[in-house]
Amino acid sequence: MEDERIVELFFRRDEQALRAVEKKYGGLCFSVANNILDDPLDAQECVNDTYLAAWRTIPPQRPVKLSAFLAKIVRNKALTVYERSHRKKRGGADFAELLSELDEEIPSNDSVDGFMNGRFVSGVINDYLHSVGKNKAAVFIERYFMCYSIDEISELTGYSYGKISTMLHRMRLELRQRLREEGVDV
Amino acid sequence: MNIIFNSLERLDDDLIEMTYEMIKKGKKRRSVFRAVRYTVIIAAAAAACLMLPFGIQKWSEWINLPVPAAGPNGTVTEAAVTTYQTSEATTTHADTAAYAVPENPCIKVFDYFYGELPEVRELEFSVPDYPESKLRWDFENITDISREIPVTLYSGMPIWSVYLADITGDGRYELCSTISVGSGVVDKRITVYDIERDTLYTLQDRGATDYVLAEKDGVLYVRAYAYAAFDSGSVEEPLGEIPLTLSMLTPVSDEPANAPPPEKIVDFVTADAVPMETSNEIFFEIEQFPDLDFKYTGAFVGSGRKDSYKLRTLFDADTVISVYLADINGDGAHEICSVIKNGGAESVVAYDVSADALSGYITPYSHIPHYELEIIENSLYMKSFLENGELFSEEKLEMSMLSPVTDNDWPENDESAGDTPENADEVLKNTLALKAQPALEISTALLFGGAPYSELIYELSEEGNSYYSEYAAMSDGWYFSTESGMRWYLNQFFTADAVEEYMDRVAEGEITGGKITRSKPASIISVDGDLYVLIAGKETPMPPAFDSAWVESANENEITFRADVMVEGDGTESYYAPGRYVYRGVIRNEDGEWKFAQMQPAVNCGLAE
Repeated sequence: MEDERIVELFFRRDEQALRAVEKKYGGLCFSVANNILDDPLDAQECVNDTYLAAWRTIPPQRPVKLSAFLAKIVRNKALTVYERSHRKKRGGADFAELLSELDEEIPSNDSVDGFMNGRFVSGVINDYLHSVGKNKAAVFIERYFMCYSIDEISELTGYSYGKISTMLHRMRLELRQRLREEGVDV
Repeated sequence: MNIIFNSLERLDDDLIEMTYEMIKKGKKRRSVFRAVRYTVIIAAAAAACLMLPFGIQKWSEWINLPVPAAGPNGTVTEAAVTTYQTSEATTTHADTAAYAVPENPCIKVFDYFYGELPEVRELEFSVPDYPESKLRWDFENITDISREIPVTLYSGMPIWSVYLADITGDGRYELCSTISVGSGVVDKRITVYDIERDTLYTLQDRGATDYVLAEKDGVLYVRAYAYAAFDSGSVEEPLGEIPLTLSMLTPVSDEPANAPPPEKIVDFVTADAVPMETSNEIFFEIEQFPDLDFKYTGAFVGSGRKDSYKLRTLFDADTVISVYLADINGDGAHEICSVIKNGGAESVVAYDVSADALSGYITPYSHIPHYELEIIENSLYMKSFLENGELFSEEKLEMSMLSPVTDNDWPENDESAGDTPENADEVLKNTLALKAQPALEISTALLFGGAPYSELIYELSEEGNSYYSEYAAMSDGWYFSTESGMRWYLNQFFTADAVEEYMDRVAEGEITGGKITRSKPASIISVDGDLYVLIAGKETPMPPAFDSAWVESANENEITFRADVMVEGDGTESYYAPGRYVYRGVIRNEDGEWKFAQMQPAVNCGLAE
């Protein structure tokens, strides 16, 4: 079913909308959540929360790209669960590795985080990803937005593990350089 | 949490959607990724390769076409077929799909393509729109047995399936089948028979792509597979699928009313004679081109204006075995059709005088060592024979069976490129000089030869390894060089990752171009970051070495390259006499993997010095 039609069902408050979303984007949502949490039960709970959030926000919102809309919601939901469970020393080991990758080359900086409020940095990242070509951008997003492991990305893309590692490493360095050029202190 | 990670919360929606779409495509992404580079780098050459059979979309448009989703309308009823149980389908189809479900949903009579053939390979059925009809399938034929004298509607080797679907849009069913030609070695194709108009249609891409029918949600789809992929037993996913429509099909009609009858000029096979010497000559005319004279010698067909002594080479070979005139493209004019022989390999070629262009058919995998042309019932037929002399296939010759021959293989189409017939050596020399100019040097696809590291070969070879390992000691000449003069010795490239690194640098413009260097008995090609061994000579009658090669064209499905091949030794181990040959090879993307698919002698290549 086309996205527009699904959104239309949401607007009509037709529960078919949820079934359509489940059918079309259930896999995506579950993958993102499970990539972060490494726990199918928690992941499924996040997915259900995502559908509920979508039900509550459409209307008034009318997302143009439903996949992105849902992916962002489920990512946030999963991160919330992750942070909660992380405090209890639980959570996905792969996801922790993902964060350490980023910290290694682009360490967190509280002042930047606070000052920029992330918005400026988001703009730089978006510009950067638009500039590197679709395939590289997709690998980056798969890793750091959808939180796939490198093995999984290798499976998805057909690239070797080494190639993906190298590609991501270079992109992190390029992104750090780009941020510095834009005056972000990283 | 990391600043980058948090900031991705505001990632652009179109980037997310693009990534999601790419995930859905899976490994297809990789080939497309590389293909972009190839296409950019050799766009001009690629244009020729992108030619697809009339009416067919490019593969890139086939992949990821929207599939009709489930919807409330239309149910395929259980078998409106009288004597055979059919379609397990009770399916629904969409009212909003990109491709409308036909008013009369497709009915499967049988389809054994993906399953086991039954022991009794015969059944009778009728078509709902034609209650009087009685048709029989007997494995190889569909015969109308309701007529007083049964008439065979179409044939295959075998006919794998029969579907009833309204392809012409007239509200009545047509018979649609997947058939094999040459037991599948020629190809698998689609045949559609319009009962109402007694017209046969076909969808085929001989020797390049196999087409197979499948029914889904009441819609008849055609799936495309890499040629011969089924025979290798490695097929999992089709290259693409799309609902079958009339626009994809080419009518297989009788000769058009204005088609001139075929004519035999000379044929030394059917005449059971020894090919004539080059000094012997036959002049002939083509009715539709009254200003031109044509000339045949044992190794040459040329043409010239009647008011001039000069002749141009249309095509030449070691031996031109036969010359026929037949209209094989339906333009109302004769084409010159010949069986030619080069270096032991036979091919069929056709010269379209109207278009001043040549096409050639060359044996896939060299399974077909011998061809004949023959006029049967006012049509020119091409017969192919196996090594043991057994008839392998017999098909009416059509231009669509033949591949266009690029200009690089042939002399320029001007007077200066030709010469007087007395100076045939000069003609050949000119031809070879043109061929010596590479169509385009391989840049991202690096070809380099030799095999000093058996581990490398073992790791990279797709096939049995023992054959390659015997070259493990050969280490001379191992390098590839860039246009900037930088020379990369192979010992810097033990692994595929290293080559990927190199290719990345090529892609990023740090290194421009690349050059293929002399090879030894095995050659390795790096495509898409992977290395493949190109090898021939033992299992197929192919020369065993490449001297050099150039990409001619490339798209996301295949890379065509030309290779100069030097055969050394006394020729006893080879089908070929010692000397240099020009070959055309294809590396095909099968199921997301680039594999060396086939190598063919280029038409008219002949022996070089």
